[in-house]
Amino acid sequence: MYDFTDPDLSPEGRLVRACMDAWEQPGPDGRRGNLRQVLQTIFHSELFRSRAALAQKVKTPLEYVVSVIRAVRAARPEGGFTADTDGYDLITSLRRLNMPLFDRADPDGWPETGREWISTAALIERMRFAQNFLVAARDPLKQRDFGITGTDNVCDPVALLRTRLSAEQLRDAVAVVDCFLGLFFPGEGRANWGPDRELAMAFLNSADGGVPNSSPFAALVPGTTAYEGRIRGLVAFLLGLPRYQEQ
Amino acid sequence: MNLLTRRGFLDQTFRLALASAVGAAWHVPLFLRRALAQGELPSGARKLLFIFLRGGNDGLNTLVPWGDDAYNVQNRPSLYLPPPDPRSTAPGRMPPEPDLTRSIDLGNGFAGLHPALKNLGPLYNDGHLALIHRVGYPRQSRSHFDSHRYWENGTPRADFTSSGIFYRALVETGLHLGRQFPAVSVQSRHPLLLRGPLAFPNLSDPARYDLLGVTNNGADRAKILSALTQAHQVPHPERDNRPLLFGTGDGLSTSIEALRAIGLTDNNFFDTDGTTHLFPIDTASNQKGFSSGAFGFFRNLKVAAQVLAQTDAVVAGTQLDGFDTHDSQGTLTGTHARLLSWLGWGFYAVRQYLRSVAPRLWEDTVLVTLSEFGRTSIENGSLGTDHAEASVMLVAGGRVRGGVYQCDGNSWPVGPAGAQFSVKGRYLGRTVDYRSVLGEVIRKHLGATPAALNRVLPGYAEEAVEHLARGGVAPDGVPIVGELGIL
Repeated sequence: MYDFTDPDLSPEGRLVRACMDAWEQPGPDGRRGNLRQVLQTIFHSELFRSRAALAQKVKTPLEYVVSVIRAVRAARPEGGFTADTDGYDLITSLRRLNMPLFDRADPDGWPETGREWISTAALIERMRFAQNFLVAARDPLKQRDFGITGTDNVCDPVALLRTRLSAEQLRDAVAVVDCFLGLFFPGEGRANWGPDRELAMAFLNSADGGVPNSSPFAALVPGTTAYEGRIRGLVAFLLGLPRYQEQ
Repeated sequence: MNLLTRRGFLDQTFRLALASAVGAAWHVPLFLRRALAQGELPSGARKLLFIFLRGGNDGLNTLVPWGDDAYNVQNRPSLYLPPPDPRSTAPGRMPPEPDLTRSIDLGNGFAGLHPALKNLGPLYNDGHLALIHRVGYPRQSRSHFDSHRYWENGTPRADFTSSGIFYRALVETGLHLGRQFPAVSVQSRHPLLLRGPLAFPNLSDPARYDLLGVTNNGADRAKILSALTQAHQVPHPERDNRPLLFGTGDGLSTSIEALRAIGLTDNNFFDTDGTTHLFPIDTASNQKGFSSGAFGFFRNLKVAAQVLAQTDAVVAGTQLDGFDTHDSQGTLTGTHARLLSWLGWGFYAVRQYLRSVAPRLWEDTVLVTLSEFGRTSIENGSLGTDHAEASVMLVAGGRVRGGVYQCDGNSWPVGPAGAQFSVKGRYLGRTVDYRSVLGEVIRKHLGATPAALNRVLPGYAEEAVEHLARGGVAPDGVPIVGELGIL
């Protein structure tokens, strides 16, 4: 309940009030109730745009799945995209994430709060989605994990890197890590990346066994399977970070 | 700036809802206070396993009131189960070799068991199985959807209770604290029973409780898991959900290890003959000869039992679908008999399994079935039955006081104007509120204090209104018996 006459009306109250005004204000067609105006009021509000509102919400499974695909999807210079889905294969993933698309049992809508979505099993399933997405289409692991279909959620993170980095930078762990961190966490300042950046660097410089510095990234040659596998692993790791669950 | 976040808002709403429930907690009935003073509160080792029978189980063909002459072939032409032969020679027992073309005698001169439930015999004869008839709630809904919700949220006709009854049973007793797996459901969707502001895990596919890796048969799986586990331990700026996110992920590798250590894919659990698998999860383990439709249920039941037995879980459970038998329900064979045979074997298997892990486990566990409603007393035109009201609950466990409840010659009005038609002349009416059954389990088995129980089941301690504890005339004018003394 808000008292709109209260001079100390809370920011939320002021925004509700502004939305009411936007609703009452006739739109371009001369009629009241123009939703675009209401949304614009929200999107341009201080409350919505403030840093305090950033990353305060956990993504729903649908938001997470879509955000993973979008994060690595860029136009390839030669045509096509660096990540793709036929859409249908996401249905299986969403069911596994407890959010069957358009098929909620209760008519009250999917929850928006993190606590209703985040459990160990749910986190694992999210990470698995990112990992399956990063498995190369040719690798039997992809299909074995997914079932019959599942080869239609594909991505090529090396191709994405190539659109952003020079040939020299492709072999520079710092450049590679910063490139992905910048893409995935555009709202975070560099200072906040510190620990994740270190973990990512350690990841890039170790072999599959995980022993630190067991396989320097600089020794891997772009275009080889080893290089590609390292990059795919790194991206799967970054997309499984807790802060990638936020929006 | 005082930002009211969404989570903060929900927090407040939840607390407000609880606070209003607590308001009534001062009227703690004397017997509850006495129980509390006598130290009836059990240790934290108690466990609960639930099976939700989805679709509405036909209670009249599960626990058959053969002593009621209105249970007859005219009312149920294709569904009628003849009365037992032989009758049991000992009260409260099933005959050792019942005729499986009739209902099985339960030794009270009135009630019989569907022959498909024959595997419940050992539990019943050991006095470990309570069969409770005529369970429902006031203003019973005959919609699957609504009635699922009321059974699961524990508040009949209150649509906005968004947490589950077992969820609250854990959180209000504090039993969830410090546990790796407080409550685990093993089914396709996380049931409302266990939903609430804290997320407990649902294993929609137990085999997937592990990371995958991205290359070559998951060669880098361990490396990614280790990196991700570390990433949940690093310092980070505060955000609303970070305690939750970081806290959950922090225990990732240990919880994966814990479940892996149990061996969720193992199925080397056998009956006393050493060859019959307790859990028929595939053709190779199906010595019982169930149809393949049973495999999914037994796979889930096995994992629920494993998690319950081998982790710190207090509550685990699953569901069995398919009880909505509007047509071709079947009698000795058919849909209903098939489901009941799985259920009966499931109970037997869980007991055998728990005892094999540790003899004490069966003493510390209660199994309970739930189902949204019963079915019409008179068969419909499609050889089936339609949605009705009261039905049967099964409660089993080493400490359960077994027997037949509310299906006997003394309490069951017989005939065309009797129990089977006591609601609208069509439906079996309730004499037990499901909250009294679950409430007794939560109070005596899980050790809820009266105040906590009253937050789990609002109104429980307020004897004058709901009569859930001691019985009386419920607000809708129906006499109910209250807690049955099953524990």
